[in-house]
Amino acid sequence: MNFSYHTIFNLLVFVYVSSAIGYFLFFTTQKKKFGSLGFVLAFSGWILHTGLVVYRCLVFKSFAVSGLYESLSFFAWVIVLVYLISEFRHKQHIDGVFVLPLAVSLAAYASVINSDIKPLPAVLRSPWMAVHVTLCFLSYACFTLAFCFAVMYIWQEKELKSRKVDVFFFRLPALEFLDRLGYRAIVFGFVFLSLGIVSGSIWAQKAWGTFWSWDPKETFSLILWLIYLVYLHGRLMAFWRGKKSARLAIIGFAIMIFTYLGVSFLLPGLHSYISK
Amino acid sequence: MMNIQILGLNHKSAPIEIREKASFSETKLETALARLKEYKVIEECLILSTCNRTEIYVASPDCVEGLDCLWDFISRSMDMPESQIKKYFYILENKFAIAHLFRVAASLDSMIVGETQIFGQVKDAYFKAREKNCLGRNLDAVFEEAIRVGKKVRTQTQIGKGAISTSTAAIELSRKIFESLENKKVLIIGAGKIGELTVKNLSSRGIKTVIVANRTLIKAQELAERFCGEAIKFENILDYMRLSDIIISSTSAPHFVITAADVAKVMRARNNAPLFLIDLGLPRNIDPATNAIENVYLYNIDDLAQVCDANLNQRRSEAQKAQQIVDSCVELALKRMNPERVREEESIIK
Repeated sequence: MNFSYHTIFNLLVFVYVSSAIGYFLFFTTQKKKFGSLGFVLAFSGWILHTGLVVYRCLVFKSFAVSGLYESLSFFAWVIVLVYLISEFRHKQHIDGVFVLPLAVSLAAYASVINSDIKPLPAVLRSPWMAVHVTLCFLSYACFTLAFCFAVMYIWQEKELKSRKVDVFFFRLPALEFLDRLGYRAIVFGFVFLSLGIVSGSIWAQKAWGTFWSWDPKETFSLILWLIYLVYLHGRLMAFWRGKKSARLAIIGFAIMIFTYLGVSFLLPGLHSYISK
Repeated sequence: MMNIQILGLNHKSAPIEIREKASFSETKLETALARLKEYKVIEECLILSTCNRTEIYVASPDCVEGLDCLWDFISRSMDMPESQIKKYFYILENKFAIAHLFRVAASLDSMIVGETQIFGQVKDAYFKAREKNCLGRNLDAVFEEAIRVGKKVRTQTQIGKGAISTSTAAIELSRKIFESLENKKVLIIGAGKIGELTVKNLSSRGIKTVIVANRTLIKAQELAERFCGEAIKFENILDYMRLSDIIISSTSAPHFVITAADVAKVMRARNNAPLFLIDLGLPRNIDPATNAIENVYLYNIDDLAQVCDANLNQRRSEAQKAQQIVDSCVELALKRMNPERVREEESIIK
């Protein structure tokens, strides 16, 4: 049974890779059909992925996002979900070129690490787990999307400022568009992160008896929350936009990755994925 | 056995005075087609006449006779003796005629390679000839195929992409800054010709609000009227810069009309919303230092020319791809037609 699960997960990685290739071909050739192909593949991959996530939950008999393996896979699943919604709304394939490779690397990372099913500690068997983890990963996915828009923004801005157009100039969308979508992604991400932190502390109160324990992950989540608060504040009060906002979105993303992975490996605490 | 022949001239073979004489206006075209049909040996005919080329396509059973008729026809319609005009024309037959037509339809033979007008002109010429019952199955098949080739080249290569004139480059750039031009405002300083052309292009792309400033208000009003815009006094430029998203300056002022300090102030007032400055003036109207201000994009004439150059280079490399498509299409077309009917022979008489 576990063997076939692995086979299907590898198939999933393959579908995501194909989707990323589709988007890459769209980027280089500018042909809509490749973009649509990438979209269809990403969508089919996501459906398959949903099946796998549900399967793991059934095996665990609970919401199963606890170990590093599960969390990587779940993160990839949420990123693709958020990306699909975003692409469906604005009907441009362009950010797939950046988002899909990220999803691929997460899924590929997951596929090479130990995916053995370990019994879930009692404290994690709680409906709060599903709420807290899903909200946090939704916020991560939104920040990832915002990061991709920010990278494209900085790239396009540089070309326009230097007045030297090259191959990327025609392929990237308008600055205003990138700025607007990046902002929107961060608004959503910020809301999810806030709810994620709140739900986490309610759960912590119930499970550990304290709302906040200055665990490294909690501390970095707070820093992350403050960074995006600064972003939104700058945006609304000081009218930061464009490059300044984009830079902050990139810094936020770096801290988010550290909050997600770095904290587990370097600063072990209550939230670590590798607790032996 | 039917031969396809072309007698034609274009911007490479003939100077403008000759091209003018050889061209057929829309009204002249119908009578010209009718006259061509009167020649007994010409069974099918079509005239492609644009500002850069005039080409007469015919299908006839006899090459030599067909050509005689063509010379007779063109010297009559130009009202010049054949001996005087002979050197401006090229003659192409069968395989070479088809290859030439495909190149024309693919915009590879155009003065500006990749321009899209010629494709429409080929189509129009084809429909006109068909409407007048001038086509038989030979020319009909060849032109149908040419239209397909033109489409194929445009979808499979980037030959038509990228602005190659100053005013279209300005539009292309503005569309890389702004998502949509519809709710944007343009301020034009100086009622010059290039500025006007750029505004004209912008308003055809959806810009609704045009504000014109000029030293002499009357001139500004004249220009503003043409775009249903608003004329303002030159002294009020700064107030209106705050409201504008695109500013085009083309005055002949000897000093900077817009300084970096002005723009910095304006950017604060407009909450850092992106501002696209186009400096078409000579000497320059806008302080180059403004480009360093965040969310401000300044392009002068040289910068725009540089964009055009880059695009032209891109088109040249795309033209090679297009030529390969054309070549393979010619071969296919020849195979499809009866190989005996289309004799492969070269006869370029100059």
